[in-house]
Amino acid sequence: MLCKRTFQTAAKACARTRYTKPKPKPQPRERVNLPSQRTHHDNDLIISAPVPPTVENIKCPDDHPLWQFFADKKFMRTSEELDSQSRSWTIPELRRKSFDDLHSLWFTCLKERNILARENHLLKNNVEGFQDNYQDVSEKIRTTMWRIRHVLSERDWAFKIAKEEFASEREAFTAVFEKEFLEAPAEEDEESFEKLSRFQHSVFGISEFIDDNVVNRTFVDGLKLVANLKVRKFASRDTTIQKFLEETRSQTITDAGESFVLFTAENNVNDIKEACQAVEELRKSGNSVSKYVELDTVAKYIRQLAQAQTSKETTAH
Amino acid sequence: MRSTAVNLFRESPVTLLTRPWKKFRDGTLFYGASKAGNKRSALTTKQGNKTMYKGTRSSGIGKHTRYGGYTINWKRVRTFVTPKNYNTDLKPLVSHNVPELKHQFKGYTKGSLDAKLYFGKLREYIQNGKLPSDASDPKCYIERG
Amino acid sequence: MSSGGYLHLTKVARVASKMNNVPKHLESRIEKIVRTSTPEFMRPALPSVNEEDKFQTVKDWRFLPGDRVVILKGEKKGNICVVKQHDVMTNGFILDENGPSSNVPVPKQFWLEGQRTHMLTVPKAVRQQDLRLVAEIDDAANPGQLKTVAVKGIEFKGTYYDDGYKKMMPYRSVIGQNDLIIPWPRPEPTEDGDLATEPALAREQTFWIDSIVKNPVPRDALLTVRNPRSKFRRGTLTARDISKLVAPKMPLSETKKAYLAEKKELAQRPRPSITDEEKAAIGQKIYDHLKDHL
Repeated sequence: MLCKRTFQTAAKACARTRYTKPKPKPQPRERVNLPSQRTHHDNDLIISAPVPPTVENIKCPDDHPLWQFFADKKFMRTSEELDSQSRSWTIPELRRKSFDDLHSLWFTCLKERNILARENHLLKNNVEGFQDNYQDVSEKIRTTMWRIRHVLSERDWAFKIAKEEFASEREAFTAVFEKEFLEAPAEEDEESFEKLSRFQHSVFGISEFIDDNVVNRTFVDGLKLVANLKVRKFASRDTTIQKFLEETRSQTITDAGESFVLFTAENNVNDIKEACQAVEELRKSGNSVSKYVELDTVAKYIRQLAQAQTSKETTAH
Repeated sequence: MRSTAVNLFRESPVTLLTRPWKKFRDGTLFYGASKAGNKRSALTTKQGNKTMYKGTRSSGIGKHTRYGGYTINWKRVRTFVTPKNYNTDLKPLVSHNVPELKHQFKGYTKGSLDAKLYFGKLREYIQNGKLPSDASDPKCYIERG
Repeated sequence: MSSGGYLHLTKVARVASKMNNVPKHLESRIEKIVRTSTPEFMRPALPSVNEEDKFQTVKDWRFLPGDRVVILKGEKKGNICVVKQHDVMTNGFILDENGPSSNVPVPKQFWLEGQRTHMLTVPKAVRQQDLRLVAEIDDAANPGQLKTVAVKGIEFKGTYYDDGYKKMMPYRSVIGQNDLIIPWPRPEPTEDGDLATEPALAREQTFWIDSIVKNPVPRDALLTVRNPRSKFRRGTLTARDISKLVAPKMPLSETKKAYLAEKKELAQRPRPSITDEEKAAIGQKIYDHLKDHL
């Protein structure tokens, strides 16, 4: 093709420049997917002396995670070593265990079943045994595992059913406690107030740890009830508290702010007396919390209390 | 057409069903131990032809990439939450020397789900705090519930 | 199950193990094969029983290991022995050295410790009906002394908690005499196994119902415990369920449609009514006919 007869200049112009001119280099790619598998084309291969295939050359650390699939680091337990006489956990026994314990137990069971499955597999495939003893133990553990789940499910249902029925039961429940609390003699004060703290925690969810508390309707109701109980408990022992209680309308505290002041007071006569005086001052200055902003106000108080406590802790350190 | 009398319907003789031409004289089958019951079980993952796929519910947790890699989608991987306070003292089984505890629920019609029982236990808790019940003694074998 | 393979990992293994249904006409033959193929020292003295006929409870067994029994049949008839073990496969009782036994050769790999010869005395299992319980009761003739008697029949009445077996056991008494109670033998105490939780820890209480406000089970955990949207608990049928339950309406074939259309058309056709003249004509005709023939 190139042998066409043409003028010298024209031939030069027609000559292909495609291969003569160097191409500009391509821009370096931004994202390069490196091969995930390294091959023998890598340059970092070193020829070393052959390693004889013996057991001594295989070193396994003692804390290798795969040891979790072995019992006592044994290849297989013999049928004598295997514990085939113990029984599964029963449901009544599991009912007495906390959630953390049940969770731990379930996890332990799972690990043990992994070991047993491995051993059973070896028995059936490598040793060619016909026995089912590993399988039998595994089934017992499986029973434990479903029972754990049963107990948790049952616990949840029991709670949900009881919570629903508690709406009608609440008044009687609190009345019984109130009577017992107010009638307890002064010598048993410490015990009574422990009972009160358990009561407020179980019925109203008022925790001793400020951060755990969630302010809702039940919480505020509990706050008022506890404040009333405290005042009535000490009213018979001190005249000022008695007078304060009589001055209160229908002898019950209904204001959330007043309740909060009394609630946070320590459980002794003097502190309650001081709290009563503070409440009276509040009343005189006309500081009352409206029913409609109760929840927000109490939430604000709780937040302030938590802040005060943290600052106190930091200064103590 | 006359209808067939009911007593004419009869069970076929077994010898007709088990292919007598494939039997030995002593009654044993030419092939297999029995005619029925060994072909009705479900297939395992290793059986069937090339179109048969039966997983072990353990695969399909990610995607294959170019260059032969595999990216795992961790949302699809089965995970186990480790216990927060792992109590390693509890073993998967209980000693055979401990009697199996039983709960009676006497007077509680709904058993363990009875709200009355729940309130009773709550009252006991408020009264006594975390007081262990009778069954904490390994010799106890029956309890209220 | 066959050794090798992965069958034991599947559910099939459980089903297949139950399906060892030997045809009835082959039972005797297979039993013969089993009998001739197993070596003598492994061969059971009694025929093995079916799964559903196996003894389950103490009431079935009647005698527990440690009981004294008298043999009624066989070469060792009249001997008093102690029950050593239950033979679960054959519902038999293995007795001590006073019971029936056979001398069998044993290959070397199965030798017991201290064994010197190939021959070994192996106890033979005895059936329940060939045994009677032996008990010691107060002798009426010599007060203050005990006498050994064989009990003809046993009866079970009432239950009590047995501290040895750690469970509820029935009272075992002489038939017709409920006051003559024969106590169960005391089992030999055994150590706890490796997988067993310590008794005190197993019974330690760590959960108390302490709130009516806060659920004792964390919300995230509950999802793995139970399916909250279970169709068995839902109580209502979804559109999907209903579509599965209701049968589809069968479409009509062309022939059927044509048939129905024709029927409709025929039903709409005007019906001829009989006029008075016609009625009179018919009456006349009948009258004439009857007049001639009567």
